Amino acid sequence: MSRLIPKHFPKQSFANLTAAVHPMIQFLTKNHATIDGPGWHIIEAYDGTNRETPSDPTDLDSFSAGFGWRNDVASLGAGDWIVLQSNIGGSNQFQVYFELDSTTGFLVLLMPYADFSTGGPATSPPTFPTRSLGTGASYGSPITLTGFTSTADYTVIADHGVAIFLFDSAATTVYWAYVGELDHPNPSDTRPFVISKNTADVHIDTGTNIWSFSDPFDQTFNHGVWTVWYGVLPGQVHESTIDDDLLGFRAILPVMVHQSTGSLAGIRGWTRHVFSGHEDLGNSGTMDNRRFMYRNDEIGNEASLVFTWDGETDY
Amino acid sequence: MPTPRYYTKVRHANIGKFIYDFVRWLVNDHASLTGPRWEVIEAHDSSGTPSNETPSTTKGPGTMSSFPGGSSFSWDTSSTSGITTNDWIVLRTVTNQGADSFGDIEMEVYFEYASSTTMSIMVMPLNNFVKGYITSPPTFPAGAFGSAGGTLMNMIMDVTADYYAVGDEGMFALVMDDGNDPYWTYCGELDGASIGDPRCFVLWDLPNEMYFLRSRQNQWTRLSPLNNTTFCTASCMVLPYSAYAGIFVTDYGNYAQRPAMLTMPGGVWFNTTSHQHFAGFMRNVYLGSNNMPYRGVLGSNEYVCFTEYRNTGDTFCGIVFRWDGSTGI
Repeated sequence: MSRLIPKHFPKQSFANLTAAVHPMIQFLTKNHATIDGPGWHIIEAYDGTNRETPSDPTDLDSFSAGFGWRNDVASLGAGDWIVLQSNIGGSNQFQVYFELDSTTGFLVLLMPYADFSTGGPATSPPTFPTRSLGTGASYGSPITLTGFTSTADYTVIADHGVAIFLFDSAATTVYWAYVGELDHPNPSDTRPFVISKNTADVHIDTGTNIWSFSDPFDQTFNHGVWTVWYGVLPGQVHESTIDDDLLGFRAILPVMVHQSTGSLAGIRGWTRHVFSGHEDLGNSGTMDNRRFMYRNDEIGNEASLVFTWDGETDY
Repeated sequence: MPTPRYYTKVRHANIGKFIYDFVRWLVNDHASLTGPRWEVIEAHDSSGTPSNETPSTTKGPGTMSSFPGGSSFSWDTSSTSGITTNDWIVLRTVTNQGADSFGDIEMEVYFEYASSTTMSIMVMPLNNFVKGYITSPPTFPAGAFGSAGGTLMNMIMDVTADYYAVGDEGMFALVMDDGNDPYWTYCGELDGASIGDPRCFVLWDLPNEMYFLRSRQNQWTRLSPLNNTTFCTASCMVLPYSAYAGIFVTDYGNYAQRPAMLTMPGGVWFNTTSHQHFAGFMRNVYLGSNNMPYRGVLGSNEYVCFTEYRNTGDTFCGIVFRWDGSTGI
């Protein structure tokens, strides 16, 4: 299970989104000088001029000299992109496209079949595989994580098979995304890869079309929703008007993703490192000696997102 | 993690035979099945002299053959009569198989052969049973509960039936199945309880409802962890809920297309005013799909599933027990 222990890029302050993107990619690829990361592999990148595949997929400095994504260059501009691949260890990987789209836009696209084609024209965006997914109601478009032009906090929680992003500027100006594996899938589901699409809903949103994914059996696009804990007396446990701290302790509950239709209709799996907390927890904070961190942009109305945390960093 | 043990489909002609065999399993003195090794506190033979005895070996092999009265005491394996109605026994859970003690967090459970068709259960969550009462039932201590505070919970079986159980150091779950009108219960610890709730002992007290119905209330009883005096019976299951169609999720995977019927944990909520709390998740017992068969095994006998024979649709979840990985049903 050690590979499921998350690495944290915890609440790192940057002057703007542009400054934050390269360190986050360094973290994911285990190239950061001071923060250990999960070691995702580098497939290809574009720096506004050139499109390159690294000679060493683990080393950003194996791009050619002067390339914008190198550790010793770290110079990115709007339209620069990079494709990374998970480091799950089994036969099935996924790939993720990241693009600094603008001074406030960070694009994320999941390629659940790890079928990105390298070597195409040096353009932004590149041509995506047919079955890539992010936002929308079908295959195609990346999600946009909104960043900031002023100083804000950027967090990434990741392991070999999942990455969770939190861009946080103020109490209600916060964005998040989850891309990668779910836990406890159907044993016949060898690609339980998903992406969350409602980046501005930083809570357990009980609406529909929260998640996008591909059904690995028929390769059809599919939607998902949160699956939460509900009882006839309290209603949704973490949205209940009844607080859950009578015992002086607030419960953290696992949550699941439900696929609407297709051959895997039903529970697709459980989110990893992301849990549910009570709606009254507050906007943000930590729990259990900083082993968990929570964030909620709709306190008192929707259940909180709770993340595994590093045991050290305040939030 | 507690070690689950299995009472694997044993058929008995009447409930009295079952009670005795089940107790032997719980104390790990069964002839063929390894049990969780609970401890005998006191047993009562309604026609015995003396009527109350404690065995010299209180748990493990030899327990039930170590009553001082020997063959004259109904709970001793050498007894020619065996237990009769109004006989009872009190057992205590263990929380550590090695040392048999892990602090002061055991519970006691009273089992009574109440009638030829009835087994009565009382949970004593404060582990405070006082020995020496020679009546049937005895006087129960503060905090004892069955279907309510101080009220026994009855399980009824009036014909030959198959009995299934999973149990460990701190809980057991039991199915009594005559193929027509099954009974079940869950008794003991929940997982995931709050650190402020060290005695999270509960009892499913609607034993003739062998399913998890989303709209059902008051299936569970426990002593409030807030004051150890208030009995909580206002309760319900906490089940997975999905926004799609606003339904509870009972179908974890499409059984027809992907024959890997998975299971999910089921939570327990208590709703007594000023004592509302999420108590925890059942251990060794899970939610199953409403599409599961009435009786069956999942995987390679790692789980067994049960639902009512009168399956009336898709509004309830089946009940799944962790199983031994080898014994079919």
